[in-house]
Amino acid sequence: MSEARTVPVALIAGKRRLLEGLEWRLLFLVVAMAGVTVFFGSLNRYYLTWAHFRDMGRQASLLVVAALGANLIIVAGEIDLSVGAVVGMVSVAVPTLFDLDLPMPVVVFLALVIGAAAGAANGMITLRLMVPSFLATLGSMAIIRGIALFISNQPRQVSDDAFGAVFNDAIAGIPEVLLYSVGLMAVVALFWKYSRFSLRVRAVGSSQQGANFAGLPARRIKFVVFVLAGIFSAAGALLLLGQSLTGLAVAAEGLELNAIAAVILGGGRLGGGKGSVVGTFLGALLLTMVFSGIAGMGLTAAWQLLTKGMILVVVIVFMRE
Amino acid sequence: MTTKRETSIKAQALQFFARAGVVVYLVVLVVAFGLVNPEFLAPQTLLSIISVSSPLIVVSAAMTMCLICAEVDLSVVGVVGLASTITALLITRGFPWPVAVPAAVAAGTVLGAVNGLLTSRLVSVMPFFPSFFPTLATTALALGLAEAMLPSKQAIAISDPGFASVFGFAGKFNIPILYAVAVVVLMHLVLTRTSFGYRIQAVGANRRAAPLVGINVKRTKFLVLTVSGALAGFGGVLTAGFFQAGHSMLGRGYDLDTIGAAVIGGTALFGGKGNVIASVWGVLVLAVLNTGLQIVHVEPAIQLAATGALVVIAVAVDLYVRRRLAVS
Repeated sequence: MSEARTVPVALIAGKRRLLEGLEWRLLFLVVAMAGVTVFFGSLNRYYLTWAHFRDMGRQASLLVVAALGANLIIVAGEIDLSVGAVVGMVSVAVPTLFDLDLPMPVVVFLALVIGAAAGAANGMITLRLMVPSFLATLGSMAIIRGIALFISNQPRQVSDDAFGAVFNDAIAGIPEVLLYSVGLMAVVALFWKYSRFSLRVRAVGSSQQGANFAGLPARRIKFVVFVLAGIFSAAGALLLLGQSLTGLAVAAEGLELNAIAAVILGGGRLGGGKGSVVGTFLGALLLTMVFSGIAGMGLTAAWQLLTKGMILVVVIVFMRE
Repeated sequence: MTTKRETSIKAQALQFFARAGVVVYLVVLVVAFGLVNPEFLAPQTLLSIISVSSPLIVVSAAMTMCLICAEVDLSVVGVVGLASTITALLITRGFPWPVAVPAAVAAGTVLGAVNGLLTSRLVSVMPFFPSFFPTLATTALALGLAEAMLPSKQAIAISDPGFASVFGFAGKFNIPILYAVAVVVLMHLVLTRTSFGYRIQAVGANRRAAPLVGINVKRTKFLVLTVSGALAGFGGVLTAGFFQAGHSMLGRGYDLDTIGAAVIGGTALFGGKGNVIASVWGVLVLAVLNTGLQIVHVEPAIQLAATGALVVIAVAVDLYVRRRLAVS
């Protein structure tokens, strides 16, 4: 029915604008963030304090990075449900690697390699074995959580000073993890605007068949996207470790759903071809602000889940194509 | 000439594998675990495997129906947890089971209807499995609702003789096995003998051709997901019966397990073909694997990974066999 989608005219014309006609959505997200701030601020004075915003920035860093990876995957027309599991696995792998007395840069590099390997495995299952990506990554989610629990089913501390200095500190009062995630977002946004690869990803996501006809190596492009998404998840795990210095195999459960929600709030199109980096970033911030507000009202995790479910339902209802 | 015959033999072998594969899997697994530990072949062990599986059998019947219609219901995780919690909560609040059980099934039906409504909106956007995302959303809703009902995250124990006499054990025999068998037979008849079953198959086999013969695709998908929600709710009741308790997490892993069971049983992942009875064999394969790994003392972490790997491999092999069959 919709396989033969039309490629947006802007793509054909080679026009690459940062916002891609999504300004109204970005505006809506900013207004929603302001509304959320006013709403929770009126209920709870603490919500408006600088300390709380700094905390939210720290918490948002993981979701921002995970959502950037999810944005790539969704624009390529696939889905990755193993994000949370990869974060859990890397978060216990890093303290284990530090226990082997490896220096900090090596550990960080290996963590990203582990993420890339997980992404490559997802890509192989989806593209070589032709298992639909939602099912492939649902399966790899179980496999990767299993591996994470096998590495350690106890919380693991990172006691490396260098790691703490690079990830757990603050520069001019702003947490480093937040700076990294915003920096990464800026890099990805530039890459999204200027690189040929991003154009190819969007073309493949719009129509894999069409991209093949245009001579693009569709499967190879998707494979690279899966690997990149794995690396983003691993980077997210490093930021999570930077927040608490504690790795947990069951960490970041349900993160994949938050990441997908952020992408779609930001204008991503489930089914491929469309997505906005800035929109995804704002979507991730909005979700973090809502969850933090709910937690601040003294409501349990159950209410966060309920809210998440309701946000997703509303997002689907208002998804227009 | 010879090459032609060779391909046909190969095709026959593939066809045999596609048909009899699941029973071969099951026999090989049972014999292998029996060799490692003869205790595994004791009648109690085999009976307990079937007892554990009865809720999963009901839910896998629902999942098989969804897959035949080229849909998937990932919300079974949440609905099973929610239904078991509602059952336990209402019974401990003093309601009799004939009130609690229909309430739990009704909750599942409502969530299934939400899945159906959202999916029929997405049908035109996503070519494959439009239901996977809405059902993830309702999973969050169902788990949130269930957790909100649990006092301090603890499981709610059921101590009601009436409920136990209908959904509990009679000696070593788990009464819900009977209901699971009844559901499977009923679903088999619905899918093979009714026009609704025919419509499900038609929509799953070719959603563009189905409207041409007057089938309402969106309505069919809506009904399939609603029925799936109801059955998942009933599966939750059976889970509550098995554990004599309710908790939001009792449905954990049901998504992967039931999809795996259906595909191992020979249901086509991309719709149009499937058999509820064969999925029962698929459930038993997974249950035998889990129980067997427990008996040979494999770590739970590895068990989790093994289930995931088995399902992925089963799906990949199934897709490979179907592609080869389509070629030859």
